[in-house]
Amino acid sequence: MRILIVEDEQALAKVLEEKLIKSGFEAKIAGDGEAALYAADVFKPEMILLDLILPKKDGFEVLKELKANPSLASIPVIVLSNLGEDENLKKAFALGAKDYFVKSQHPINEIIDKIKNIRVSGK
Amino acid sequence: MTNMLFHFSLRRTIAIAFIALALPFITHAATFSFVLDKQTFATGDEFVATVAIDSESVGINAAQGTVSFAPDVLSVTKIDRADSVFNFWIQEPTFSNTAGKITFLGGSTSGFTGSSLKVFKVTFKVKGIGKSDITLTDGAITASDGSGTNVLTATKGVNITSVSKGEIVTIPPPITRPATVAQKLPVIPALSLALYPDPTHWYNRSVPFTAHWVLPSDVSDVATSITKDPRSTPPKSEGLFDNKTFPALDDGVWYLHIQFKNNIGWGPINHYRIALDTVPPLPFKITADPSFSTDNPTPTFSYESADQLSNIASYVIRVDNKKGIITTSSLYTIPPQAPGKHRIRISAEDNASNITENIAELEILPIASPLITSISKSAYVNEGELSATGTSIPNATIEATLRDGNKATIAVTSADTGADGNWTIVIDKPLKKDTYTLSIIAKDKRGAQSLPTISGAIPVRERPLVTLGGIEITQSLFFILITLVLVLGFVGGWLYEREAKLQRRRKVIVAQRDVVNAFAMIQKDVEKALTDYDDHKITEEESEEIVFLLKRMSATVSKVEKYVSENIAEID
Repeated sequence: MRILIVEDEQALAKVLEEKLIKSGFEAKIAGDGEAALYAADVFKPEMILLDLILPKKDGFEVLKELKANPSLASIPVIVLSNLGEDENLKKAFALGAKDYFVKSQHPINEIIDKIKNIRVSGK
Repeated sequence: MTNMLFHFSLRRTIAIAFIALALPFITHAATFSFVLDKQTFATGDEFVATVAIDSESVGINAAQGTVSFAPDVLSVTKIDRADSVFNFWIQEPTFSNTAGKITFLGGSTSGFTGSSLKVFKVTFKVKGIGKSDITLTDGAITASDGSGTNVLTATKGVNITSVSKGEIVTIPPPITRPATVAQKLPVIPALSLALYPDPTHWYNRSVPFTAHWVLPSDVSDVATSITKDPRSTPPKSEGLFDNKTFPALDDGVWYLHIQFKNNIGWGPINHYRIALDTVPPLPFKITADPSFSTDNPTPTFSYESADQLSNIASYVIRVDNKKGIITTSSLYTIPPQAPGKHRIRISAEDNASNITENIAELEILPIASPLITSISKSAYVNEGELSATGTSIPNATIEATLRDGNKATIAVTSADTGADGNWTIVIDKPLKKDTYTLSIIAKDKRGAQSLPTISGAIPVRERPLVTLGGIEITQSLFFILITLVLVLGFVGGWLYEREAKLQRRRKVIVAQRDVVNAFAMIQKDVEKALTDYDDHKITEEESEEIVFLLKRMSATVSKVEKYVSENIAEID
C-alpha cells in the first residue's frame, strides 16, 4: 500500500516513513501543501496522512482540493494534527477526512497500528 | 625612354634569375675590384684596368653593374672581354664617354670560384688633369646556389690621379746612408712578399704587390726586374731601397730578380718565382654509368676538366649536401644512395685554387617494396614480442624500423629473405605504452633499396588482469576502480551513518514527545480528579467521573507501557 505522509516536521515525517516501510508500506513524504497535491497526482497514494498546519497551503485547503479532484477524491485521508478542538475535527470530517488523530493523544506506534488495522480491515 | 629602361631592367633580372637557377651551388660573399698597375698617370697616358671578382670561396655564375668614371679626366678607348670567365653576355660591356659609364651583364653556364676572376678589361686614356674615382654601382654578383642570391658584399673602387708629364715618381724614395766596406760580394737578397709568400705555389690574385727585403750594411745599390726568364739579370741599379711595389701581373710564371751591389761588385741574384693563374679550369660535362636515372645505387660518374696554366689539382664530388670527397681521378663511384633524387655537384680545382663546378641530377629508382602479410595487432607494455612477416624480392635484406608516436626510432632490426622472399622479424624489446608503426625496407645485394612499407598503427597497451563483459581491466584500471570503490564506500558509509544518527535523534525526539504527551494527559486527568475532590466530598456524579478519569489514566499508562517502550526499544 502506498502512503503519502504530508508533514512539515521532518523528525516526525522521517520516523513515520521508516516505521511504515518497516511495516510493509510504500511511503513518500511531502513537506508542504503544494508538494502534497503534486505528490498525490504523481505518486497515486492509496492513503494520505495529512497534517493541518503546513507551509504554503494548509491541510484543510489540501483536503478540499483533493476531494474536489475526481481522480484523487477517493483516496482516504487521515488527519494527523496537534489541533484537538472539536471544530477542527468537525471541519476535517466535513471536508471528507476518513479519520482524525490528535498527535498528542497517540504515540507514534499507536498510529502505525491504527494504519495497519485500516489496511487489514480494508476500510 | 622609361619603358626601354624598364624592359632592359626586367630582362636583366630574368636573365640573372635564369642563370642562378640553372646551376645551384653553396654561396657566401663576393667583391668587385679594379686591378691596375698604378694610380697616377700623366695626361696622354693609356692604362688598362681589369674589372675582377673575388668570389671568396663562393661559386658565382653571373655579374652585372655600371662602372663610373670622370669623363673630363678619363675616356674609354677599348673594352676587351676575351679572357672573361663569363661566356655569354645579356648586356655586352658598352661605354659612354659622355656620361662616364660602362654597363655590363655577363653570365656562365658553369660556376666559378677564384680570387681574381676576370670580367673584362678596360683601356682608359688620360685626357685631362685632375682626379677620377673609378667605381662600380648598381652591381650584383649572383651565386650559383639555385636561389639567385646576390652575394656582392663590397666594391673596391680606385682613385686615379692625372698629372702633367714629369711629375710622376716611379721608384720609391732612395735610402741615404753610408755603406760599410765589405771584403766579399754582397749576399743574395732575401725577399718577403706578403701576397705571394711561397715561390713554389700558384696564386690566383692579380693585384699590385710589394716586395720587401733587408738591406745589409755593405749594400750600396739594388737592382730589380720582373720577367718570365728565370735567369734574367736586372738591367741596372735603381738606387738604394728596401721595398718596391710592382704592377699587377698577368697570368703565367714570373720571376722577380733582385741583386745587391757593394764595394766589391754585384752579388748573386735571387730569381723569386711568382706563379699566377687567375683563370678557372675549363667547364666540363658529367656523365653517369649506367645513367642518371637508374636502380643501381652506386652509379659511376666521369668528368674531366683541364687547366691551361696551373693544371688540375683535384676534384671534389658532393652528393646532396654531404661532405665532399676529394679525388684526383676523373671517375668516381658514389656510395649506395637511397631511392629518390640526388644532386651531384663536382668541382674541379686547379693548383691556384680556381674552381669550376658543374652539377647533375641523379634519380635512384627504388626496387620493389616488401609486403607485410601479418603483424602483431597489439602488444603489451614491457613485454616486447612485436613480430611481422611478409614477402619481398628473393635474397634480400629486410630492415625494420620501429617508431613511436613521435616518429622517434625505437628499435631497428634486420632479417634476410630466402630464395622464396619470405621474411620474419621480431622486435623483442620492452615497449612503453604508445602507438607504434613499423617501417620495412628491402635491400638487394647491390645495396639498392625499396621505398619503405609502413604498417598500420600498432598499439602497445597494458595487459589486462581480467576481462569483464568485453571490458579489459588493466592493473591501472583495477587500482583506479578499487580506489573509487573505497572512496565511494567511505563516503556512502559516512552518509549512511550520518543519516542513521539523524534518524536515531528523530526517534528520540518523537519518543520523548510521546512520553511527555502521555504524562501530560495523565497529569491533566489527575488534576481534574483532584478538582472534583477539592471540597473533600465526592458526589456520585464526581465519583463516576473520577472512575472514568482513573480508567483513562490506566489506559494511557498502558499505551505508554506498550507503545513508548516499543518506540524506545526501536531507537537502536
